[in-house]
Amino acid sequence: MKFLNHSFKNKGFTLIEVAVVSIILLMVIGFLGFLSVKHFWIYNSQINELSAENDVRLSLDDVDNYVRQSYRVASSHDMYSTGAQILVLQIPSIDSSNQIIDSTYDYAAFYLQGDKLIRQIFADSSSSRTDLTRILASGVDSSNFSFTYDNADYSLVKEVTTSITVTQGFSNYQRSVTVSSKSYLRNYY
Amino acid sequence: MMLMVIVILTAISLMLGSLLMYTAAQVISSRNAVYKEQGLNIADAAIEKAIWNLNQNFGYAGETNTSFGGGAFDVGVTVIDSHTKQIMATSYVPSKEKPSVTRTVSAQASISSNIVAFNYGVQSGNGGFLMSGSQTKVNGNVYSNGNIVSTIITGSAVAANLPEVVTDQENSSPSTPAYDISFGQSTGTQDFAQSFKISQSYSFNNIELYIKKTGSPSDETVRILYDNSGSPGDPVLGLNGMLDASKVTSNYGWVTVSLPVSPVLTAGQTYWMVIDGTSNASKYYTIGANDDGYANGVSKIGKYGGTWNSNSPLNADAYFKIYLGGETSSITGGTIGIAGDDVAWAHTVNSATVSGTIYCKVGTGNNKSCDTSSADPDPQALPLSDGNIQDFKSEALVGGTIEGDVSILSDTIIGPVKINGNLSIGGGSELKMTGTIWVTGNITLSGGAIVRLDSSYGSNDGAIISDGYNTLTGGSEFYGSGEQNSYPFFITTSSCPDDENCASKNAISFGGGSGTVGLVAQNGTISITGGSALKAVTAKTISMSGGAELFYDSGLVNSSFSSGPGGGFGFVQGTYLIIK
Repeated sequence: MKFLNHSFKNKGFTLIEVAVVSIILLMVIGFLGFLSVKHFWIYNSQINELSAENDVRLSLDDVDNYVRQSYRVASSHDMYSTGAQILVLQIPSIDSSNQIIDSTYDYAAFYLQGDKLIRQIFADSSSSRTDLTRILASGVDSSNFSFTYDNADYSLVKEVTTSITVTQGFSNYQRSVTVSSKSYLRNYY
Repeated sequence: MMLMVIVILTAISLMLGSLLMYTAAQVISSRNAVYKEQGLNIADAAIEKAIWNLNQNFGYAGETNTSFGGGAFDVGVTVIDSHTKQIMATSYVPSKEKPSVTRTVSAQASISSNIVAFNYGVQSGNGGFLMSGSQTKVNGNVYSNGNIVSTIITGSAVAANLPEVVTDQENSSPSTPAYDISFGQSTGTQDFAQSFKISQSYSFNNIELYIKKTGSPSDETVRILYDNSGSPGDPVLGLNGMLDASKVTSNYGWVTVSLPVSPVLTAGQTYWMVIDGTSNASKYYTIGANDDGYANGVSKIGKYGGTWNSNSPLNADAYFKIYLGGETSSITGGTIGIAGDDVAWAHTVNSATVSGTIYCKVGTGNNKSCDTSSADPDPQALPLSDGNIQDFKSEALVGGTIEGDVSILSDTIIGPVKINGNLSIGGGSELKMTGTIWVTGNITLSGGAIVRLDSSYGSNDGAIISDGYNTLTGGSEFYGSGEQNSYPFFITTSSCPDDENCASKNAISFGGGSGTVGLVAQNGTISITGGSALKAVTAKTISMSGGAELFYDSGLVNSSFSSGPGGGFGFVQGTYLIIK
């Protein structure tokens, strides 16, 4: 009993023990904090890169799909004129049974509006396509976006090359993706 | 301590989890992007494979769940018409059972065919459209780049002006001729001849000769003759002019000899102009000449219908100029039209009874006066190009070559094929065409011969093309594939009768028959002497006589020629569609 009382009276940490434990705790917390910050940076950067890649891929797929189906690169339609950053395509119209309507055409214009790449459809009244405007990508770098053609005469163009750079995120988390793609007009004749 | 461990482990787990999530999202995103592109390429490949299958098996209807390129595809083929099929290809990536991406593409495949625009059912070139015999009749419209001589035309008749006058051939240098060739002094040297070739198949406007006379010779006849082995041969009937002696002086000068606008000569073929007259030692002509100054001919001296000899120097060429074109066209005679909108339209219209308006600048003897409000009609190009002709020949060659003449006296199926010789069909036998036929010689149909297109032609036309003349007589019968708007066409490159090898035959002599046929002889003459149903008739010169009556499908504009089964299915550009 005497022994027990003596033990109880002597329970506790020495100052050195507390100091050591505190230092270890601070080091662990600091490490975790550093790890968290780095992880957060990596995570956001990669998410932005993923978003940029998705936008680029979807944009190029969309351009490619319309170019493949096109009959001609049109010099202009509505308020849009084909050039380095505007592409106007003349596409055979289709009926409700997905059959091409002879000598009838819809138009698709791809252009930049600020940092957004837009696709706008101008459908013929007899076409099953509908007038539609869609944002294909955001964060498009206008200084690194271009359409190039295999012929200066747009009526003779059979091949369109699209180059696009999309930047997503802000500050240190910003990521850019640049992709170029070549598409052929399968309905040119 | 335990708490601290738990906190650390939790934090690390969260970080690892989020990184794994990002990685998974990245992988899925990349994979789907690749799958989408892969799916489109597989669907495109499926279309190509379907076309290949159609060329192996005309009845190919499609396939399902065919593994290809890391995915699978289905193909469905539906028939649009006898020569066009719709192909629908759907791709599945990575598999049809568990697809992540499905893409659908459609396109049309068609048996290759040549579309030829026959804008006018009856169209003649510079040689004109010439009808004779009071009951000779065309049921439809006529367009001619030359004159029309009409009897009965139930539609409109248009005769376009000839092209502007051009100096087609000339030998006139130096201005003072180095040589003088005199003729008409004696029987053996009474006539002079100079050969030439024209570069364009236009009608004559006139000839100029650099000539002078001694004494007072009489007028001379200037004749145009075919070549006969390097000397003047038979005359081109109707192509004569007169050298007016009063216009020739004792000094050299250019003297004009007018020639009729028809017949029209064939470009690139050798002809002779012969100055034919009498002989008198003190009354004769002298024509200026140089030594081989004209590359396309040579001069000779002798007697028309007799012997011809070389001049001195051997390659002497006379001074002459040939002017082509420049004349206005005319419609002469006949009854034209049955309705108010059937018109006669030419620079000159004479002696015609027209139901509608007569557009002309000059007219006499008509049932109404000229309406001068319209400019003269312009000549229209004939429908077949040299490229079209070569295409037909190439199609025929696909099936190989038969050397020597082919005589068909029992039912026969051939084509595509080239026959290096003549083709004759007789004895009521039938030639069924399974492809384009090219005959390098002549074609003769007699004794109730039958020409029929195989059913595989569908709604297309089929062509028998020849380089010689065609004689289609004896109640021959002509049938298409059995479908509407399908007809056999006889096409010849022959310039007959304007050729020394023609034996006075026309490029196509058509004596009528049953069924419907198309006739094309853009370098020669088509002569129609019997009742005929024609899809189209086109020639440099068309003549109808003896009460022949011609019917044709006036509404038809284009003819779609098929090479038949010998040709292959191909992608029809303009029909590619990404459905999904």
